[in-house]
Amino acid sequence: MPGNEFEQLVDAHYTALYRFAFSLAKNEMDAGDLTQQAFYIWAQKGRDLRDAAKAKSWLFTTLYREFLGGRRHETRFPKVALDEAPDEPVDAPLAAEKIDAAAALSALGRLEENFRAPLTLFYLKQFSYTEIAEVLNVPIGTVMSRLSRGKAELRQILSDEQNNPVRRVIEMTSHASEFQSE
Amino acid sequence: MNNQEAKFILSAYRPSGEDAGRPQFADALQQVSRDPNLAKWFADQRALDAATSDAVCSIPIPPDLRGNILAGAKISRRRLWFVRPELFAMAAAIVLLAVLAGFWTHQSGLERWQKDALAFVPTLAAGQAQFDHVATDGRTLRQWLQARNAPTPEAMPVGLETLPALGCKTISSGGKPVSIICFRMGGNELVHLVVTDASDLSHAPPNEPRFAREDGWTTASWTQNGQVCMLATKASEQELRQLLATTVQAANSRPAVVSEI
Repeated sequence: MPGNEFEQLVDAHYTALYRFAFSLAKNEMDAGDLTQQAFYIWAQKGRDLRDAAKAKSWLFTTLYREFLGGRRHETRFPKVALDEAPDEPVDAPLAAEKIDAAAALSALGRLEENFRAPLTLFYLKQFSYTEIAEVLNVPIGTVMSRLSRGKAELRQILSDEQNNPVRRVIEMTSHASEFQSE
Repeated sequence: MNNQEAKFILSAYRPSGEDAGRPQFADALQQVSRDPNLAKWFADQRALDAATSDAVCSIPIPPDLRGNILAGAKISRRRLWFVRPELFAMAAAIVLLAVLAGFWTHQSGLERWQKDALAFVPTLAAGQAQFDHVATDGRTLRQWLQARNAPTPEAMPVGLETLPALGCKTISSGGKPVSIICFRMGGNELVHLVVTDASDLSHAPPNEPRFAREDGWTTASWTQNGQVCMLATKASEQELRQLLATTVQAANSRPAVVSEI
């Protein structure tokens, strides 16, 4: 791939890839590393992928695999059983107009990774649910289930924060300490 | 379908409305129109989706990230080519793959310039990539492209003249410049006019618009005075045909060509 086309590929996708990586890794350094790694792997292996329409999915899939691969070596994170959320999502009362960006990102960051990954791809507006299934290599029904349950959890967290802002501050402080200690 | 099933399906309905025409959501959306409680839930859900989507899409990007990626990839490519000479042996295999991919591309209906444009358009629509120039009418954008010697549609479907434009972008497809002009249709749908030079294309479309569907896109492609053009949208084929029908009525002898500079 000529340099200008590689640059074009980077320009087209690096911001969304970084945001996806940040949502997964929860810190800037790892998110930057994951994003760069995805493009390096493209430079090494992706050049034989001639269908540019598939490049985006390829990059997101590669980044996600790199993230999962890195996590396998980290014992501090317990393995999360898939789809542990309640079977019937409960619609918690929520004033959506009062949601600010910090609260939304904080709530998203508190979801388990198996919900956070599809929800972040969904909210990046880059992929349909069928494409998300392809990127994450899970069945379409599982993606729909995780979107449904993930949103219910997101709603519950945001609702709790709206109804108990003091608790939100305490939880966010605790959350920050948890990251700092890692 | 009960409301629980409808909620399950609608959880996958994207906040930007790109799924409005997808048949998978049709029953659930009909249920929304029938049931006020479900309609209220759906409105709340979309508000939550919009707020969260805005938050995710505003995660700040480190200012040095792009430069680091490009610099790192250059080093990576250089090391691969010169330090690992076995890759020379793989070149033949890559050429073969390219030939096969080229064959596959032709078989699937859309050419590389079209696929590259369709791959890039969502990044413009989502704000991930910047337009080269922003204006609300297609004529201004066409003149802007022409002034820069970028591929410029010699004429546009008259249906586009009445649509608000978003901006234009020129990308490279295999070293070939391809211009994209984006317009907003009714609702949240977009339609994109893509144009490039037809001279070195092995499979230029016919003079009459040829319709195709691929990866959720509906496209109409045609050749006109040495240029190849494509209109692409996620809206239905019927809507795209209506957009072009205006043209056909206006100029029987030259479909898709009515409004010239």
